[in-house]
Amino acid sequence: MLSSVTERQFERVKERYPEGTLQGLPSGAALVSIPGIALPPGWSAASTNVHFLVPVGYPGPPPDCFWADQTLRLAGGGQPQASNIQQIPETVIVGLWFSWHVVDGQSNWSPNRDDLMTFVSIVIDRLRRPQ
Amino acid sequence: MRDDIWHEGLETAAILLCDPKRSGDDWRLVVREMHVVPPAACLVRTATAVVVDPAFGLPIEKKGRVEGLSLVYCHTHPHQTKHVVFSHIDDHAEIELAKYAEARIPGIPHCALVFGSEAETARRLGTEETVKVTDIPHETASTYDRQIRAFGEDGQSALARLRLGVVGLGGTGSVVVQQLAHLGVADFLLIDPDAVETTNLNRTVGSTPKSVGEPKVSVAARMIRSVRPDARIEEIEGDVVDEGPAKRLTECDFVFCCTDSHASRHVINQLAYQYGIPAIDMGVVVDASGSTVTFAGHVKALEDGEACLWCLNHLDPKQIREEMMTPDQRKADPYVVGARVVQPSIISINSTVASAAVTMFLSMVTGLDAPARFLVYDGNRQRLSGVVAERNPTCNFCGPDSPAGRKDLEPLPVRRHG
Repeated sequence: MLSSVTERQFERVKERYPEGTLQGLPSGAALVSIPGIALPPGWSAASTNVHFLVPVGYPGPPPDCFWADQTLRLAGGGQPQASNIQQIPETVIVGLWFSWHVVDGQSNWSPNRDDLMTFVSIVIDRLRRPQ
Repeated sequence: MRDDIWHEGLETAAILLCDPKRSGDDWRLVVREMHVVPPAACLVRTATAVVVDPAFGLPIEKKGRVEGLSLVYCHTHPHQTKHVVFSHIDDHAEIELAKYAEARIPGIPHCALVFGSEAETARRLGTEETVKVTDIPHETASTYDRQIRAFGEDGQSALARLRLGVVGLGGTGSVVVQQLAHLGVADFLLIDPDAVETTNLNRTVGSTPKSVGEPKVSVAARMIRSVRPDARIEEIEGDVVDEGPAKRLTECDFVFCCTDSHASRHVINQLAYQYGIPAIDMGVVVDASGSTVTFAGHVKALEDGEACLWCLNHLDPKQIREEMMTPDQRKADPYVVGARVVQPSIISINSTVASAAVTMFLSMVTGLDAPARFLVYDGNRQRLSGVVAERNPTCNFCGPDSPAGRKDLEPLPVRRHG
């Protein structure tokens, strides 16, 4: 069972990304998956699937880090900064884990202001910068 | 009292001196002294009448006047059992008695009480205004006499009925349970995952050097039993961030949050609003990192209508994320700082905050006149202040679209399979 707050916030994500899914995990966390996120030039692909975990206790604690397709690279074939291949906990999905520590988002995260769409925007913002 | 004056065939009488306590629009009269009228002091004593020599009452009434005590004139109706009523003779006699009592000791209520063999009835002297009579067991009355005088027997009964959850049995929690046991709380659920360490001995009330290595919940339980051998105590050596212990808390009537873990406070904060179980959160901070030591604390009630910890920005989302992780997850995350900084802790400062929390609890449960629901302790200035806490009308944790009041229809923010 997911909290009504999580489900309500995910509806906002679905408005923007109708193909997105929200899946509860045994620990109490949940997995948000958004297929086909368009990528700007500078990446090895024109789009990627994106996944991130809604942590146990959400909306108190914020999401952190995200996964893209495990084949995603920079256009020159290099590995993006702060990334490696990793399985998403509690799932069978293996992806390119971006330990992109959203420091500004983290330190200023407010569960009464920010929501899942805020975190999606943080992910999109990272993917806008192929590095 | 009935047994002290009852006679199968003849009416008998007594005069009670009572402490009058105002409670809103009501009064509570707690019996302080009972003066049984001896046969020699009865001018008339038959199966249907008793008339007391006024001289018998004079010193008692004088004492009442000097000490501001209410008078309760008692007598028996040997022919009545469960249905006890005042007679017309009583009605008539009380008219003058009421005028007399009001003139002698004005401004406080005086009563009449009549006993049958199995029941009693009471009223305000000279009126038809019924007065409720509550019998306090003698042992309870004597043990808790001094606090019953403060918040009444109804308040004492409430304390005895409540199941209290206490999360965290360290610096503040150990003080809280000690005070609750002395107050007469008799049903405890204790939750703490930790064992006593040598460095805890300076502030864990009830611990001794032999307690090192023992679960904190066991040390607390032993202390409670030393005060109240009949107390019902359940010990959970676990983390309230895990689903099992958290769900057990929903069986409580009231919860004390005595932990410095933000994740635990997040869980208890949501539980309080989601299940409508009042809670009190407390905290102490001693900062010795600067040139001077600063210390402070807070006590916050968490209940319907009150701002929650998220409304006040009292919780750190990042810290909650880290504390919610399993040990393996924490180890795998390179951004989680391993060891927390060891903070100073002083028993007297913890006790100040814990005592303020227990007094707030008494106000919430017994009606003791202490309306502040958010207290801030400025230790360096030795000042404890009530603060107005603004609610966030759109709060995701206590607002109208939050899980508040939804009980089992919402999940608690806990680790499953914990």
